[in-house]
Amino acid sequence: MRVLIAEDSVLLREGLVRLLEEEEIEVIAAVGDADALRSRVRADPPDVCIVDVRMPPTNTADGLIAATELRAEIPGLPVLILSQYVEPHYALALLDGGADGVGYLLKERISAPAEFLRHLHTVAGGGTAIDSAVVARLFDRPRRHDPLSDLTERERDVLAAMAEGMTNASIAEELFMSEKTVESHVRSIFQKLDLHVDSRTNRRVLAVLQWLRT
Amino acid sequence: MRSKAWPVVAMTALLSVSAWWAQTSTLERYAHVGMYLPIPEQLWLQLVVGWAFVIAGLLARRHRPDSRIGSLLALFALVWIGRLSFVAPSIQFEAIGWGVAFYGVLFLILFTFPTGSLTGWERWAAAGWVSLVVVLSVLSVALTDFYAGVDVDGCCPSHILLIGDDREMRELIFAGGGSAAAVVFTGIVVRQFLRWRRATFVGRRRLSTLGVALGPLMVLLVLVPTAGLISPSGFDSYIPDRWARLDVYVQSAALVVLPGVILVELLRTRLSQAKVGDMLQSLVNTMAPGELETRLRQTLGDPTARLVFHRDESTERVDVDGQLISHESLEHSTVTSLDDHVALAHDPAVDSDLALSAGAAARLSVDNARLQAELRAQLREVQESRRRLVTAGDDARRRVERDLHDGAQQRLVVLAASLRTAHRRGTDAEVEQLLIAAAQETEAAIGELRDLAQGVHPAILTQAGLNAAVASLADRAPLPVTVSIGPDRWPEEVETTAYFVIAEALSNSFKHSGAHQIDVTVVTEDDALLVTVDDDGRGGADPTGTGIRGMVDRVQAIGGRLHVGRGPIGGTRLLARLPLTDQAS
Repeated sequence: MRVLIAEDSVLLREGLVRLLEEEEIEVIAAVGDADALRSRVRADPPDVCIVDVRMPPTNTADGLIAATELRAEIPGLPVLILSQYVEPHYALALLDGGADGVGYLLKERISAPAEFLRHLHTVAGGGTAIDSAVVARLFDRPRRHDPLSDLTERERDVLAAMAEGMTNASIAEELFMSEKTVESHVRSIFQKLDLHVDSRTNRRVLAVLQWLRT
Repeated sequence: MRSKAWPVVAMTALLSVSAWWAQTSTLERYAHVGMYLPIPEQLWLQLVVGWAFVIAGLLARRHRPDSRIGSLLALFALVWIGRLSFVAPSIQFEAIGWGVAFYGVLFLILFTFPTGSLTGWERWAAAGWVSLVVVLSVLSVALTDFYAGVDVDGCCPSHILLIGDDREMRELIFAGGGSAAAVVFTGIVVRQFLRWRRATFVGRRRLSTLGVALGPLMVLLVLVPTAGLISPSGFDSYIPDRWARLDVYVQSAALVVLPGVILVELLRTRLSQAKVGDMLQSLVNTMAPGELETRLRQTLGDPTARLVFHRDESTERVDVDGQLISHESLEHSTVTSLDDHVALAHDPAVDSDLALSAGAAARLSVDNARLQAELRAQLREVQESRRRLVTAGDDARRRVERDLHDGAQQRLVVLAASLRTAHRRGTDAEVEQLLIAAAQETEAAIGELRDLAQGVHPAILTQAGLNAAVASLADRAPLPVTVSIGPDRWPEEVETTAYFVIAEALSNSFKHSGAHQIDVTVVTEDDALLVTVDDDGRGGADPTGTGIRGMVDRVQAIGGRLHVGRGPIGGTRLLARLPLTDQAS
């Protein structure tokens, strides 16, 4: 797997490079600003980009904007956003252009390398990974007539796992149940929330997150 | 300096009597040689014209001593009536006086209206033209023998200037002089028209009146053949036919109307002066500066007039609202100083005496107005400095947030990662325990620091706008918050103010209102951002509380307004209006 890293903090960038190299993952480039990210990806698209939200030149959301542009140019380019912000807005902005190969994780997740690498592989393989803190924030959002209270505790766990981008198989594994049980939970949840989505994992992430946001 | 009127009246009366006597006696005496006037009414018509000019002139001199038009009108009358005495055969100079009065003095009046004064090249041009008129008039008479072939008292050349009767030469002079007069008259019309085109509001009105005066004169010049009027081309041409009679009536009517129109225009300023008196009376009651300025404008008939205040200890000039007045904006105005502190800027065409007297009358209220203008200017400075303070505070917060993001937060992330790595590689169970605890503490610190940085300044506001930033507030709210904000971006200052107002309003509602639901709406309306926060709580928010006070300060710092009252859904409504156009006041 060929990885490109775009992160302006030298400390963190070096840490990431070391982490990936220890796992014998090839880092084809490690850059510190959004312009370098654009030119390197255009010249030689990697299997996955790890991108910081806030980067030079303007030090606002340059990384996120560059990633969104690049995904529009190169459809399906896997991008894992590393962020300091628990902001559903950013995750949704990225998912808006298609959920295939998209990740949004908080920076501190790199301190748990095994999980971090699992998410990296998911994204590189075209899957979706949304930080559990972002999903939790949406879950905790107060609602006037909360349909979430109609869900069983098990159903809520399944919904949260769906929002994080997990496939039915991963959910089954994570929650120690059969895939068939997961499927029936999903049907029941969609019915209770009045959600009409086809069961393809990547589309349903966006639908679920958007439902949680409104 | 006011010239006395009675010598002029006396002189005119004397000349009139002399003219009457000269004409009647001469007619009687020389009736046998065929001397007669074209029509009997001519004499008294001529006198009416003369007196019309003299009365207009005297009134003009009395009420408009600054303008020389009055004196010129009187001069015209004296020449006009004076010439009528010179009809005896030996001194047949009536035609000379006609030429000088009509082509000399009258043209001067039209040329110099409304000041009656000449400047620079105009002096030379006018002197040249008047000399030419005199020379040609004298020449034409000198070349005319009015009584050729007639025995007058059995003696002498018929008048003392006679050189010889030369009809061809005479006609040449009439043709040349007439053409020159037509050219000069056209020049005057063009000059006054160009002035009108260039003129400001007040000046235009004045010159339009002159156009009315020029009208009859045009008729006079076009309908009445110049050559036939300046002088009879011989005694024969004085044939009292119907056309000659019409000539005299048209000429007289036009010449009576002209001084009347000029007088009306000159008196108009006099009427304005009377308005100053009216204004003075209304000023006895203290007047707001804006009202004072309106009164001055009415009195001067100049909608552009305004008061200009010199600020204490400063070269700045401000208007009644305390706004700075630039040099450029005064470029097309005349500035009349009223005292060391105050001046009146007005249209250059407004009579300076009038401006001065109106200003002097206004002085009663002007001191009050000046102090108010000074106060407003100081208020403006305070507002600007308040705005700078708020902006500086926001900049500082933004810097702190950035420093946290680029510094401590990144280091803690790396630290947490290192602790976890150390934990994985450790062999001592006790140390591992400590390491995992340290890693968890560090991660908790990262979370707290993130919330702290968000509170100092929300990065998402700069990065994604008000819509995303307020939605993020709603994500973290303990109550349902409905957000209705478009994805538009607004000036940073406005977005920041709107965000902090909304954040403060939300936090007040959470803490004190007992609300179950909050609605946040932001719309643009007439160059302003309207921020509405409604809750369904108990209401009765205290507008003097520190929270609301702080919001008011922030909003006012960028020139906005904030209102807290009862909302449509029962609780409190907070309404902020933030101007999108830059207005420091």
